[in-house]
Amino acid sequence: MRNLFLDLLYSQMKQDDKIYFLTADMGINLVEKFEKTFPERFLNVGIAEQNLIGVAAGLAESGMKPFTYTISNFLTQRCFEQIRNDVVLHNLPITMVGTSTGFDNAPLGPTHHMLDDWGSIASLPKIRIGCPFDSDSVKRIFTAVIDTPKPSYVRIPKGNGYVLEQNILGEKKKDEAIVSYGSAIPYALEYSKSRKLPIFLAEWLGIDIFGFLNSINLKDYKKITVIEDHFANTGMYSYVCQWKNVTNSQLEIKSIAPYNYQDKIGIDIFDFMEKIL
Amino acid sequence: MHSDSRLIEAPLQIRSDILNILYKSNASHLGSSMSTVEMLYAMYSTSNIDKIKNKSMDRDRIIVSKGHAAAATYSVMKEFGLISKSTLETYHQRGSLLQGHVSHFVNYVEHSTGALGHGVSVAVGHAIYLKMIKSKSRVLVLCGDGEVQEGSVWEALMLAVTKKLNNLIILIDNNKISSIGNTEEVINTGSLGDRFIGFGAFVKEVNGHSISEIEDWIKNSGSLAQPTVLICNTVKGKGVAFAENDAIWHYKSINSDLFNEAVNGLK
Repeated sequence: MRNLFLDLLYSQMKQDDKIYFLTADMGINLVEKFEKTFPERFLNVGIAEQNLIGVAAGLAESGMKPFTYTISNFLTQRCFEQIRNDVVLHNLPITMVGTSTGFDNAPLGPTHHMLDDWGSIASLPKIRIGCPFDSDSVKRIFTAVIDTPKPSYVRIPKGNGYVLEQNILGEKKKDEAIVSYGSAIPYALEYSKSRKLPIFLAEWLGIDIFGFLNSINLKDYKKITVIEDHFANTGMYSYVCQWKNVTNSQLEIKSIAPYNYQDKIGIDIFDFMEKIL
Repeated sequence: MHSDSRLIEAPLQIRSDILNILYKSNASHLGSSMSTVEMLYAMYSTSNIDKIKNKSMDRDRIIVSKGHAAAATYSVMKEFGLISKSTLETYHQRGSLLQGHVSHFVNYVEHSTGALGHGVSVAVGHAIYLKMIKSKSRVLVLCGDGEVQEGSVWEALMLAVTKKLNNLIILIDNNKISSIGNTEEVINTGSLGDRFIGFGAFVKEVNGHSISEIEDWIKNSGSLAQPTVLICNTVKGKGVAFAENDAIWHYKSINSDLFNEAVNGLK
């Protein structure tokens, strides 16, 4: 999904000379073609995420449409104040492209667990957060960030995405359903299959989760299980709770989510699910 | 004494405006506002004001990274016809766009600041753009000597040097006092110029209260192959005797007695 997103961006840069690609020294064997083809619209700022966002803001104020690229948690947390003040406050058309989500890089250790990235970003107003789950989803998110430039964060899980079996999606008459996104999806699919429950995948997070919940007619269900790759207190679970409160629903909500960084290799969302099962 | 009267009268008028708006709104940051008057004046006097007014894409950019120098910035903008007298008088008052830190919601302000260490990175982005469109315009950034304690300033400088951004001029308000104390005691930024030289910038130490000296070194930047850093030696609270070199005037607001004393002291 990451490669597809970058391919789409590469093609788009040929048509739109306002797009500017910035990396914080990430993307070996991926970003070189950007530098070669668009040397004037490519910049490696080095290992300096605060500067990555600040420089992108200056370019955007000059009419460019910057895309900033690095690992999701470095992209969102080292430079949080730059995102708040320089991007969101100024409502600049910057798309932050983060690679990996959840426990995608689990063996690399807790500094590389991305369990609190989009929840941090979603605390800011008017920023759009995309999280694709298959190639069509990547294309839809890419089209959205190109068509309506505004502050955006796209977190791209590892892999090519997931194929949903129609019979799972079709069983909508049940009282219970599953919602999921990101790198929690394989676990959610397993949970869904074992219980023969319908599953719905979100590709826009943050405040757009409310639109997603309405689109799946959440009010028709009695129980929802949220399986996510992010801490629940700032993740989708908290949005479902807000939805329940606002709609005065009697919905029963179950959360399967990481609740801490792992202290040893091998713990992932599946382990949290096992405990609950 | 300069023969050019603007170099004497303009700073007096600006300091008088600063005192008026700070007093009327019970606002703070007197010290930084007074130390930056001549620097800000030189930043605007060396820029093409018409292009700024027209919002031309190849305009000179002025970025006030130490956003708490807002009273000085807006007073200097008034001097250059970028803010009206009546608007300036609303400074720091309910309903005004002129808040206590520099804001891009105010026309002709490039970027909102207030959290320190942001402006140089943004300026680098603008400078890269100007190079891309082959413009000769400059990007001028005002930074505090306390502000350079923020690591992001050095991230930005390293990139600016690597990319040979000779259209970037960083003016350091070297008043030697940061928020609550002397920089020497908080974080010793002694040999500040050497540190910038070590990062590859062209560095010149100047009298930060000499408009003509600052103007000359801003204009010199085009002949260089790297960014310019002007260490502008200033006095925090300059021109207001009771406030000079006293950290408390970063925070304190002036009462009527002190206001009259300060205004009379300017004459």
